[in-house]
Amino acid sequence: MLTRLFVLLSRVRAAFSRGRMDDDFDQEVASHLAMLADENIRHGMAPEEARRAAVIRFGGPVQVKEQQRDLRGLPFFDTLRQDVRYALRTFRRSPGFTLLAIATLGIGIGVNATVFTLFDAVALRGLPVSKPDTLVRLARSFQGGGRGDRVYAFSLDEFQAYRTRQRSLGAVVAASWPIRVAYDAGTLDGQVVSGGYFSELGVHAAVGRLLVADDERASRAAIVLSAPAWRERFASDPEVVGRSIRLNDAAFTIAGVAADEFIGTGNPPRVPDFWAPLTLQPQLAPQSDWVRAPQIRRLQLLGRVAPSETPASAQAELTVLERTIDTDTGLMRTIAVTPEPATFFGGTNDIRFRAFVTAVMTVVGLVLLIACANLSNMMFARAASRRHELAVRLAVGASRMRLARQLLTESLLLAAGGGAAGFLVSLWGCRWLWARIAEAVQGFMNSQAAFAVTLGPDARIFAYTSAVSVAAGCAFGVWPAAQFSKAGLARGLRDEAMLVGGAIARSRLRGLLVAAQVAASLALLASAGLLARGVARSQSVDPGFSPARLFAVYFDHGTDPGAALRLQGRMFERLQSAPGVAAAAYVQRVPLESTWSLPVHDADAPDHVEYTLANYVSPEYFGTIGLSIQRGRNFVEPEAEGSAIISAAGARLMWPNADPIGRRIRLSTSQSRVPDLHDFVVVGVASDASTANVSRRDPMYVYLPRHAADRDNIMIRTTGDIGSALASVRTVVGGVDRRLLATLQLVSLDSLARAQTVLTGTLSAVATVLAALALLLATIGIYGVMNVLVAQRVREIGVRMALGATVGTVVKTMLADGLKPVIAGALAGLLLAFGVSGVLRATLLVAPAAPDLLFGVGAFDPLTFLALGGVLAASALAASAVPALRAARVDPMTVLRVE
Amino acid sequence: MGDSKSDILQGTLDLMVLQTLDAMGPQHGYGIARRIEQISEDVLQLNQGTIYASLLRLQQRRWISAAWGTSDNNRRAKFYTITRAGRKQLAVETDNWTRIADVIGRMLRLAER
Repeated sequence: MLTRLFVLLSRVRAAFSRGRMDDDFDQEVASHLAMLADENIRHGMAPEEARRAAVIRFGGPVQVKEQQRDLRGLPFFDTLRQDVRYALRTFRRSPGFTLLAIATLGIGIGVNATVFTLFDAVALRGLPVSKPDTLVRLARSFQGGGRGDRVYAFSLDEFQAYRTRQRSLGAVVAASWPIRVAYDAGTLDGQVVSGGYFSELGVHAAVGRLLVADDERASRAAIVLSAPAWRERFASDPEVVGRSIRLNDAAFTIAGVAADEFIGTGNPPRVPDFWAPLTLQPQLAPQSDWVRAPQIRRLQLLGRVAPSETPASAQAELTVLERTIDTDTGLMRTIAVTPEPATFFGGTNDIRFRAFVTAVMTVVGLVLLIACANLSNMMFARAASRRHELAVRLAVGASRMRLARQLLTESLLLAAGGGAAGFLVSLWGCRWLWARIAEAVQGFMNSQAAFAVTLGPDARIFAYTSAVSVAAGCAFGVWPAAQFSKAGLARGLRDEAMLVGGAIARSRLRGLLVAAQVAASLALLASAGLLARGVARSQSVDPGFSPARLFAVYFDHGTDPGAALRLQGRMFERLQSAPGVAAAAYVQRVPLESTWSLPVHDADAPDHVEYTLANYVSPEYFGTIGLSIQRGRNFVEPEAEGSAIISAAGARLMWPNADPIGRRIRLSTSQSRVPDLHDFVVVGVASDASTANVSRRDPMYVYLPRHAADRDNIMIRTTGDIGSALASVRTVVGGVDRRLLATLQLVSLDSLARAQTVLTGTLSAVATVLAALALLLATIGIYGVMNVLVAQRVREIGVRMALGATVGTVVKTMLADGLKPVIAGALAGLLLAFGVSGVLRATLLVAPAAPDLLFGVGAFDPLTFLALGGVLAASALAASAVPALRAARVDPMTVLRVE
Repeated sequence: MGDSKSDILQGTLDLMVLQTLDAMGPQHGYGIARRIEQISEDVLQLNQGTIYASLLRLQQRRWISAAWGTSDNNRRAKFYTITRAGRKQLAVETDNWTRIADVIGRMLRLAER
């Protein structure tokens, strides 16, 4: 055994010092020959004769050296090195081909690696804790199948029950959703956590100590800072431990700072500024009383399945336990509690998530496949032009295997280059894409904090990229290698008819491939073009009201319903009279932020159903946001039950030729699945605006009078300097209750409008990048096919030129053949693009709340389509022209001489 | 034996080389080849170059070591020395060899009868 290891070691060592070993052995052989010659001379030979006899006696020094070399090193690697060196030489001779190949593969692999990296970050990477793969997050399933954040939300009651009464999880720890508190004229976001949180997760402190069970039990006012908060808010001051700070009105002592890599366990992941003991909740969120309100579910529960249990048995125990606590009925009843693997984004086991990932992976897989097909064509064309070199090598005795190996080595080397390029592409692509996603998510959720994810390359990503590269290398390399190393090929070279016959069937496949690529890139180009025009349009869109001075006033109403109503009334009164506030209104759903859409019909003509947006508003709403009552009257206070105001567009839709005032409409006021139909009499008609989406006029809007006992949102319009107006609002709110300041948010409708344009911008950017990639790939594909065509027909071209064909006719013939699939593909792509646009249009008709991504640009915008057709035609022509011109340079004499 | 030059079993040559180095002390390739030819009274006409494959194999197994030195008639040459592991191996191989030779000898004598 040991002996074998010695042999291997010595061979490896030799493989790395070939030159020195060769020299050494040369000397040894020379010395041996000299001694043999000496002996021969002693026996009386002439020196010249003696040397010759010595060589014979020795037995062929060259062979001995060759044999020694094989025995000494690692022959497999020596051959590999030769192949690599040879391949690199070939690459240097055709740098254009090499760069194109690496770029093609770089795109294909890069797109795949990018998607995989994001998938890895979202679904595969565990939380930054010890043994993340064993950590589970509890998720409930609702009777009604509801999803979203609330499946992870549990009440304090439920937590206490799980903590003490279940056995299948070793320990259950809790962390709340972020709570915003006032600190030092600004705010901090913190989470309250149960005592065992840090120790159960195995998190370490960077400075000081972390929270322990005793902190919770003794309600100690201690907090742990997160590393980012420590850096940004406390200047990384190591002396911060033991310092006392005021959060809201209570004093807290900083116990320590968590390790840098611990970015919390939130789902979705947001790094909190600090963690505090669970029992300190009343000080941090004074308006809420979680202890006495079991309906408040603000905790995420984490645990580890005990070794003796399975996820299924744990689920069974938790579900039984939950049944004894859950008081909800109907759709909101909890039917199961499942321990899910704890990732940063929940629901990665969700069938819809899987379907989405599969779809995206398939698409990017196809991109890589197309890249490989293109490259295969190029390799084929290249191998075809290298026929003579290959034939000569076969003729002088290279084995078929050896030749195939050589060609495959070239492919794999290209793949390695492509893999490296792809890796770089993905590094950049991930950052870019994640920034776009974060932008869009922030726009939707109206949150300042971005999600914290780790996108750095890890071993998994590296392995994935390498595997994809090798697979790609084999995919595009094997076929040309097999074709051209065929022993029969040497014959086939002379007997060209055979080769051409086989190639015709393949060229049809190639044409189809090119057509498909052209179609896909044209469809993508069209989408990108339309979206880009939408982005341009969004800059100058007129929403029909002026969001610039409008603000939604959000604050924590607290958990007591009666107190919440009184607080809301007091706030509204004070805000109405605050300096800098021109008007204030109640509204259930803030414009540009949330919508309610539903079917509505004329109570006297039930067949005429339209889809409308709807909202509950106070009479001040129209004046506040700048809508006018065009006909009829505004609401009054108190308004009679059963009145409604309809938008002008809605009135036209419902009663094109009649006066809407006094008409009765019927709709369901229940915002859930069970309808609750009521009739409303139209008392007024309001002007049209884009209050659901800045991108389109609301197709129809029904305003209903708000109920005095509803908890609604407050909107204000400011006057004069916006900054001082907001300052005065803060003063007013502080005057009502100083503790409200921590949770007070003044959200400008302007920022909401901008956030809505972000989606179009993001989609436009993504579509532009995809379209550019698709166009590039299609261009490469066209180029590759033209190359093959030319390579295959060199002989024919030569003959025709010898018979008097001009350069012009040759180029024309080649272009005509090469561009046939391009034209077919372009037509198909145009149809596809029209189809996509048509579907987009159609969704707008049935969904009044759907945003118009194109901001009113016609889906069949002729300008866009013409311009893009031009771009495609130009690239196709350029890609075909290069090989076609090469065909024209064929020298008839050379071709005929080869015959 | 039809072609005694190339039909020498690898293992046999290795054993002879080891035995030579054990008996004569440090020796260069030429010396070893000559010695084997002499001992076999020129029955074995070696292609002397083949000795080097054997020397390399033995080196790779660390049964012999090599170093450059100067020969009797003042030529630079590589000298091979048997190692302790080599001696152990030689003992094992010798043992094996005599046992097999013994068995074969008996078989052949049996066949003659």
